[in-house]
Amino acid sequence: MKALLALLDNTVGQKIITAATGLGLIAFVVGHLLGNLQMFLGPDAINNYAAQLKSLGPLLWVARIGLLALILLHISMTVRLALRNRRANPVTNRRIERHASTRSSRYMIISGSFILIFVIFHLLHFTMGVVQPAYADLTDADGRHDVYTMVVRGFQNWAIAGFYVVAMVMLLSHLTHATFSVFQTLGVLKIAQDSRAKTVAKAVALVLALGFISIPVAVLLRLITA
Amino acid sequence: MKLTLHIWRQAGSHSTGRFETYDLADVRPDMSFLEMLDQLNEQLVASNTEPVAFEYDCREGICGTCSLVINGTPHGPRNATTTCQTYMRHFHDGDEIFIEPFRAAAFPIIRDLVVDRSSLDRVAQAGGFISVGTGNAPDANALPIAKQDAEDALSAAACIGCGACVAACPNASASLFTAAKISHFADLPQGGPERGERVRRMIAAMDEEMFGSCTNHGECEAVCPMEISTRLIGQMNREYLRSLVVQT
Repeated sequence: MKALLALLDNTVGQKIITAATGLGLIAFVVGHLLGNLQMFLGPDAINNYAAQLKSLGPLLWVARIGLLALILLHISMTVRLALRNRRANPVTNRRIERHASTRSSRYMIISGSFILIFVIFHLLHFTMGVVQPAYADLTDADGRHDVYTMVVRGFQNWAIAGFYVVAMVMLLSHLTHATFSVFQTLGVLKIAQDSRAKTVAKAVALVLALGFISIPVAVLLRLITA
Repeated sequence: MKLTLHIWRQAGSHSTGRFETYDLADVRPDMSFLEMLDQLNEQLVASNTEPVAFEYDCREGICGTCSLVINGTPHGPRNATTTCQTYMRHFHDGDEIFIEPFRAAAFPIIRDLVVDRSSLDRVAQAGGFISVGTGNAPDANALPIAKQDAEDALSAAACIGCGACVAACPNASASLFTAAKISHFADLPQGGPERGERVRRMIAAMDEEMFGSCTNHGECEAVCPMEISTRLIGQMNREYLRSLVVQT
């Protein structure tokens, strides 16, 4: 416990917390995608999956609170470090050439902020049903919450589907830097310093983003219909 | 060669600086970059203008005193090369060259192109002493060190502490410098008793000096004249995690 608190005292520790929580969030994103892709298996699969998640009861709340804790830690550490970095490099009137950093690495704060806004919208949309209340409380033939219809009807709205796609492009930008960067920060050098592993990490980010994007796009192309 | 130089001029740490433009003729391609600046200063002195202050010492690429951000890159356009080892043949006749100091909150400008890099010295000093046996020189191979450990330690020890990593970093982080100084000893038996203490103290000192934090951009590695690898930053993080678990 004392060791964990010591992490909060310095920038290396704060960065390690950012990486560790980020890794946890990547794990969640992978799981979430695998769950979501059941949209392609038809209403029965996804509604059944949703019902099973709901039936976890208190366990579901443990997971939700854990996830919230990860997000809060991740954001609070990043904001703290980003403010510090801005103070550490206050000069703006210089010419500086960039040799190694990427748009993805330089815009982590911007892509991250967009993802936060998206997550809030996403919860209001599909979890709480505030955005499109008409589709939020449907039930299917077996009396289960009809997640399938809710998602299809939701994404038939171009503006909403477009917003989801843009948000997933932001996620792609964020993860392109993150998937290799976590291993560097956590000192897993076999992965972080291997150019092939770096390519694999970027590919993972791309696969995750394309996986999420495939759902609204499939709805808009009428590959998935209600 | 004829050159147009845009040089950052600043009278002192609290004055506001600006770019001044100077035309310089008769630059020979075999001159070093610093000799080119010497020639400019002779021209400035002859016309009763204050010469440009810049730092140098060995002029052979081993001391880490020369600095300068040349056309937006610390130590200029050549890979793995200090400013003093950069020659005018790497430029072209008629080039415009922007010359700026190494900038960071932790590197206050003293005058023109000279910055105070003593913050790096204080980080290194925070490492403290290492325990070694005194007395006669030890017998050869009395203290076995694996070949790879010795190589890694020497690669880290190549750091000349110039601060280019800080100047290149969008966050003005001194992580590469600090990591090199930590990795220099991390796997050696010498200094083993102070291993954990050293990494904790050096990281604390780095934060104290108002350097930024590492976000793995990799700019430092790209400009380092000694080609220190960002691998060492990962190793520093690992050393730090180890220090939380293992005493010493």
